[in-house]
Amino acid sequence: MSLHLQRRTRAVDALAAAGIDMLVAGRQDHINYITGAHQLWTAGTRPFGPVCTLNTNTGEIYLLSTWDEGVPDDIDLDHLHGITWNGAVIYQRLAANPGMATAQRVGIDSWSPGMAGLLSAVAPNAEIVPTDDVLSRARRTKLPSEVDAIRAAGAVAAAGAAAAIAQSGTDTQRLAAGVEAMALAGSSTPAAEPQVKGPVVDFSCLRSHYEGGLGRTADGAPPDVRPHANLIAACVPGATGQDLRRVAPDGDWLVRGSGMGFESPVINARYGADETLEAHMVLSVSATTGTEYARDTVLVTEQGPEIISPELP
Amino acid sequence: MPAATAPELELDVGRLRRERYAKLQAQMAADGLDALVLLHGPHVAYATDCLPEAVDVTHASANRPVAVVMADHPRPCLLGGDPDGLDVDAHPAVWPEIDEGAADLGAQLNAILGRHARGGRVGIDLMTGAMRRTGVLSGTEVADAANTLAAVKLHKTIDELACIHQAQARTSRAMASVYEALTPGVRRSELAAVFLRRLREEGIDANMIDVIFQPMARRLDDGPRTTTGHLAFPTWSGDPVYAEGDLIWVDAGSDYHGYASDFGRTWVVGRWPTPAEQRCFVRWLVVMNAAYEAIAPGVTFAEVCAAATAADAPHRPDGDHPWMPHFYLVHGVGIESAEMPFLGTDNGPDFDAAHTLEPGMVMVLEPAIWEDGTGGYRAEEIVAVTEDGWIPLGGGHPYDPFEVPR
Repeated sequence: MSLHLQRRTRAVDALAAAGIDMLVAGRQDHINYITGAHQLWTAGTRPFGPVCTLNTNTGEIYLLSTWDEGVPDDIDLDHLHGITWNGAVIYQRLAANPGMATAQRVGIDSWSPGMAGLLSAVAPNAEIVPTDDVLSRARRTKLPSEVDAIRAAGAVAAAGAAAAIAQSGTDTQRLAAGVEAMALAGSSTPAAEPQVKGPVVDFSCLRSHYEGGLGRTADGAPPDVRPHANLIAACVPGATGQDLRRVAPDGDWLVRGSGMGFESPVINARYGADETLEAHMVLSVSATTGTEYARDTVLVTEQGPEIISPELP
Repeated sequence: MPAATAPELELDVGRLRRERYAKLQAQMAADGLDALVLLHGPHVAYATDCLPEAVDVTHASANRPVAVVMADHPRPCLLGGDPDGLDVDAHPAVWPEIDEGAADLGAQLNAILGRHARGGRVGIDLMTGAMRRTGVLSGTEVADAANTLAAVKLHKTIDELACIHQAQARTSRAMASVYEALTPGVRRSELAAVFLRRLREEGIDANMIDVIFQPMARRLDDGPRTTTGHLAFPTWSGDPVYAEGDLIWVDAGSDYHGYASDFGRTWVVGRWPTPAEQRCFVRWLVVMNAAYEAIAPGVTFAEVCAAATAADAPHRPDGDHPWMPHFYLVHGVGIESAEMPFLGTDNGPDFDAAHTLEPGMVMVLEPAIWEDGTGGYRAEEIVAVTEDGWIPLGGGHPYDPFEVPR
């Protein structure tokens, strides 16, 4: 089964278990997870709008796309909704969506006053419930092909970081060289903002929907004494956020899910004490102590943590 | 006809902030709001000048700053973000995507809103699932802040025009370098690499859309299938290698101080355009000139659309519009890459007839000409409506390799 259909099965199972009849999704990462469609990447937050619907009883999907370019074959042209600028058209499409009028629970991944009113009108019998937590829980352990995709994205991000380290000149010139190298290596879309501040670099990218990334103080500490070394060592199945806090360095640190972008769990000095790590999670682990900064992408396995971002030269 | 270049527009950051904040306060009063709570990046930037990072939606959301604007308070509140150098009341960061963070946000909002936390009327643009689960603002009457923001951002201040002008001019200079790299055998990723490097060198660190160099099939039947039966653009297109004679439609947008550019051109790889390709370009120019002639304050959207359509009518036995049916003749640009005014959309003729151009509106003109079998021409130009006409923003980028008739 292709990767996107494996993911969709996970999502449908999780949503059905939560009693959701219909998902109305606006977040691009959720839409990518479920459909596998390659849509144009745009930066930043978006207002909430219905870009994709998923009927968890029938598996039927409607996707906002005027064309089938980048859309997997399992979503037919007659299940694509063209771009519209007209609120009445959005209403009509949702109202005509089979299963919407009779849905008991409609799941949404964001909320706005305008969309809340619209959904109440098209699904008058439904309870409108946030389901971003259901989706993020389904996403947090990774399938083997997802891990492969994250490794491949990590290599692209590493090309950017290596170029920025190698480049002489101002930080801006080195940053420019880094983003250029990352594009040549296969990604013109950043995940987080690339950082080049003197010896400190951090690069991340999205490649084929998946995020890879890493950061370093160039010519800094060897791997076993980097500021995030104890955190990485603690990334084992069953470890809790509290366990990570015990071994965390004094400076800033963050352990968070990494997959189709920034994911759960989120564990730092303030949040996530009750989170529990599981095998097949992929985590971005970062920490700073003094002038030393390090970030790596880590796969949690039954045998312990495995760093899956490349080492830099 | 436009002036060759835009007038000098100098950004005064202090004035930009003051004028936007005053407009927000006035609109809140008109909308009967005690407070605004803003989570959408461009909205936060409008209220606080804390600029959104050009990062993936997942990152932009997880670390999102939140703005709170209280009626009659002299400064906005900024939760998280980087308050350094901003005129804001700074508050600790929250992580509104996770339940613990949303609970923190709720507590901070209650403290900031004070008596309005119970029974006040609060405009909000969006809530995360975690905010819904933890009951953020559950004691207030909630209104849609998108309406308030839509009203204030429609008419740009002089400094907002300066930002759009800078965004467009810098994007245009970066694209000039990309055009030099356009030779047979080059890949899309190589062009993107040049563009992203040059943007940084131009002082732009916010590329807002994965830059588009889309090779266009010469016949609709050879391109992607569409819901309109018309063109598919702009699509994701992987990493194609361009061959001599390929027709490339270019589209890019990047922010300067939170304001978007919108660059559009049509390129031909490695050779001069054929006479048929050049004819498409000339038709496009004629449409543009008709639109330029029509643009003035007080003119309806419908009148601009009619002028553009009439200009191309001799070539269109179908009577159709010279723009793509899923888009528009004109869209606005500002803190969003596409915002009001929209002219010629599927909102329909009644909508276009009911709206008029007003000073301060910024318009991206993007007609598109298509001759099936030949291909077509599409490019974009930005103008701002003034008291007595309009001025170009950015502008002056050549139409190479097409020839502008004398």
